[in-house]
Amino acid sequence: METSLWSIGSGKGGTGKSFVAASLGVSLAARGRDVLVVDTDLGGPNLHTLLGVREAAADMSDFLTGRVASLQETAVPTTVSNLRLVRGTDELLFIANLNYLKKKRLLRQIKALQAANVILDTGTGSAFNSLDFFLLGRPGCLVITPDPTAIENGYYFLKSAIIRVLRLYMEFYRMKDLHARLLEQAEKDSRSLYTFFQNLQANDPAYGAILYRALKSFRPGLIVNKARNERDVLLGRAICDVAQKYLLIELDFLGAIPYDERVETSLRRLSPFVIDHPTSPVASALNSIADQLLARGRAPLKEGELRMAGP
Amino acid sequence: MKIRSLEELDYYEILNIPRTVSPADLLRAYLMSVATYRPEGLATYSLLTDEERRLMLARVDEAYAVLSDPERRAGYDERTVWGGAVATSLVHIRRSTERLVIRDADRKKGWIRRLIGLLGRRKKAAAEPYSAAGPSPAISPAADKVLRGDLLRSLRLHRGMTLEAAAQILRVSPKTLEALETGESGELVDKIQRSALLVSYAKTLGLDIDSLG
Repeated sequence: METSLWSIGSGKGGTGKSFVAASLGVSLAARGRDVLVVDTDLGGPNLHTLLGVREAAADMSDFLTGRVASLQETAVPTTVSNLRLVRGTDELLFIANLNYLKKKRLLRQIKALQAANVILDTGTGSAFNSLDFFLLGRPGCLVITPDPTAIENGYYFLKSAIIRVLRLYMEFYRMKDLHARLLEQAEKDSRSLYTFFQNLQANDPAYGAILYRALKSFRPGLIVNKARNERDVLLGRAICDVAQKYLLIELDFLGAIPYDERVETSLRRLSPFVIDHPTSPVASALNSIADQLLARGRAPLKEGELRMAGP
Repeated sequence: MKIRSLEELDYYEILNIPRTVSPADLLRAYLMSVATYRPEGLATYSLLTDEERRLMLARVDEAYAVLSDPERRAGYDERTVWGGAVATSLVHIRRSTERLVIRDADRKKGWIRRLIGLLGRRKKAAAEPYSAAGPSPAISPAADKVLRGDLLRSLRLHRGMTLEAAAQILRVSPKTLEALETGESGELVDKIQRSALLVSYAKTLGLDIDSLG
């Protein structure tokens, strides 16, 4: 059975990214699927807290120091059956030392993890480290909340991710000078991607075709968390339309999760919310998002879409 | 590969709808687009400038004006299938890189249309899918499903109408209208009154609700 690998990212803190990652894991585990959630938020891991794991026998640092040979060995059980966790590390030593080669090794190990479903909780923000983990996901899911700050950071996150995708392809095909040109343009305006491709089409049509396919293959998902009304749900659809027109990407709206103050209460009790309230609107929204993600994994590739090799 | 600019998107792509869209879904898509691209809209926050929003809204209005009129829509479909935007540029960034697939599909449709046109039945055939099915009741189920207070609010702001002015035309208090817009009118008016008010409001804003059937 093929492993499905989803990543959950966010441009801003406090959107509930880790909550979504943990809850999707619980939702799948409750169906009897073998699930592994991985905390790759190197700056501030907290997925273990959301899953009620206070102390763990191992975490990611055991792999990074070479104490164990594979990342798989650092997986620990959680309070939820069928759900295992690779706990993150916040030891600054490792984060500071996460050089290019170490990161590559970590990325490779994540791709090799054995479980029916692997879910990555990636670091907040648009730094390269966060983006590279996010781009491992098929798909990567961006979590936003319906407020201007989250939307602003969300768009920035998407733009950064697009540039990162294009850059990885440029590196692979050794189109070195193009990256500088893209970055220069990206700062200018919302139509920068279009202008970039237009110029590329005029000057290097072969590269243009490759990069265009790369862009088309980047099909992230969008989740609106803490939705308070129908308008917030429509906001998700609207953002997908805007992204399609101005960022030239297919952004799939996966659904909205209603706001529920009891989420906070469960968190304080260190008890997964979806387990505490399995019939709540929040839980059913998460179940439906999980359904969509599972269905998307089974769907054939769209026309022109590449199965990306990843970073 | 041909990436088209926003200016090259056809009316269906502007509103993000299929060519077979029903009048109710067309109206829904129009209201959604107005809500998305209106100034102060949250969905475009930080990404678009006011000028970019204005340009997009103008195109949205233009697209709706044409597509909501069965005759103009039929004419537009004919033009765009025959040597218009769709047939010449063929490939759309979000659709396909396969030139031939799209060209063949569109040509075929065009042939049938043209054939029907030659036989003198073009108008009837083209208008059929969009025509209203007889006189509609005061609140048609289709209209009821499409009309939403918050979307109508976006349209009102887009048309530059104040809450007070709209309330005066509708002969309700601004407070009632505001409640309708925010969807919190549960206590103020009952469900049937609410639907009727939504319909009147939509008509005040110039929407052709009767054609929804």
